[in-house]
Amino acid sequence: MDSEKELIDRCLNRDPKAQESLYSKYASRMFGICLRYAGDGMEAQDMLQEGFIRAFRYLKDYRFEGSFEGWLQRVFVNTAINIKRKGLKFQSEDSTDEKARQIDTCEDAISKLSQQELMQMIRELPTGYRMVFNLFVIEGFSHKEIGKLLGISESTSKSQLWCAKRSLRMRILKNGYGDGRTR
Amino acid sequence: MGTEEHDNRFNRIFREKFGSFESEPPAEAWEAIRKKLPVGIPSAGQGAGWADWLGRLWPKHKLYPALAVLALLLVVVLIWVSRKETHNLSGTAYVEGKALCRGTAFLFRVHDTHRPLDSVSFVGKTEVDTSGRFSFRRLPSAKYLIRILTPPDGGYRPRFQFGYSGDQLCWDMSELISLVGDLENYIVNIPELIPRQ
Repeated sequence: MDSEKELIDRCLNRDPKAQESLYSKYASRMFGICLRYAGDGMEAQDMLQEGFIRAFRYLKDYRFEGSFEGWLQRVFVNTAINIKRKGLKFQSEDSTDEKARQIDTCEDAISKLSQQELMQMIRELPTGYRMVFNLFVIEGFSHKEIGKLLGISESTSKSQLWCAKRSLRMRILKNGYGDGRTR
Repeated sequence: MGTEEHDNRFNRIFREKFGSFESEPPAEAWEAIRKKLPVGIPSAGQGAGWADWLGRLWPKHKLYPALAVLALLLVVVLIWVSRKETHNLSGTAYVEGKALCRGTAFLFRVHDTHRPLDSVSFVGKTEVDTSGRFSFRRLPSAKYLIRILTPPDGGYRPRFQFGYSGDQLCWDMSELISLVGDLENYIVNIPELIPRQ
């Protein structure tokens, strides 16, 4: 932690070597996050660039409470939301019976797929579905929190997630990875 | 395994797969970032200058005339929009061949037909009457989607909950309605959400 604190302090003093070291340490992990949110590789690179520029700009606000990686991850998720939210529109939804929306999921088929295959399926989702899916399933935000982040209602977030999972399930079935039923 | 357990397992698998997902960015990425970073040792208080600059650019005594001009422009735009040619869109919703008894119809406008899923905005909602009829009035020419929601106490749920124009269950497969004149008899058949086994 001391060595990381020292690295961050040097970055705050705009030491170019320290900045490059920090980038090298976390770039792969953060690029993975960008790839989940972006529609394509070029957009992911733009997100990576903007994310790190924001991170260096707001580095002075990091209070060394919690892990630095966790703080950096939040910066990148917020960057992705800000970039995608500009052109993102959702329909407003009334809340519907949650139980009626639950469908069987092909978890066994999913667990056999590689990260690259799953990543490709996620990136093929419409932007709205992909945003809510990433925020709920992978980042762990609640629908209420997602509503505040994206400016949508809680029920819209739920229906977007439902459609995202349905779309993923259909892609898995279409590619012949499973019959959608658990053993 | 119940559906909630399926859902939790689904979420957990994805979280495990992507919780530590990494990918090497292109080699030139750092150079692009480095060029945009400020150089030199920061001075104390640096970063507060923009607030002073904004205050000098927009002093408070000049704000109110600017707001008045904006308000006037807004009124002109509203008058112009209200005088544009408008149309009516009405139709009937059906469930299993019978007119839906009550419900709610939602109207969405599609702004970009090349990206319909990401350019939808909510226009308004109206009640569906006991004969399945719904009606939207004074709409500008544009492309629209309709969503029909069944009433919670009408005996339709859980099998029939909602449907989109084009008789679809999900909006990404719904039919776009191109409104260039009055449309009086648009039909929406609400599909079954939970098919019988």
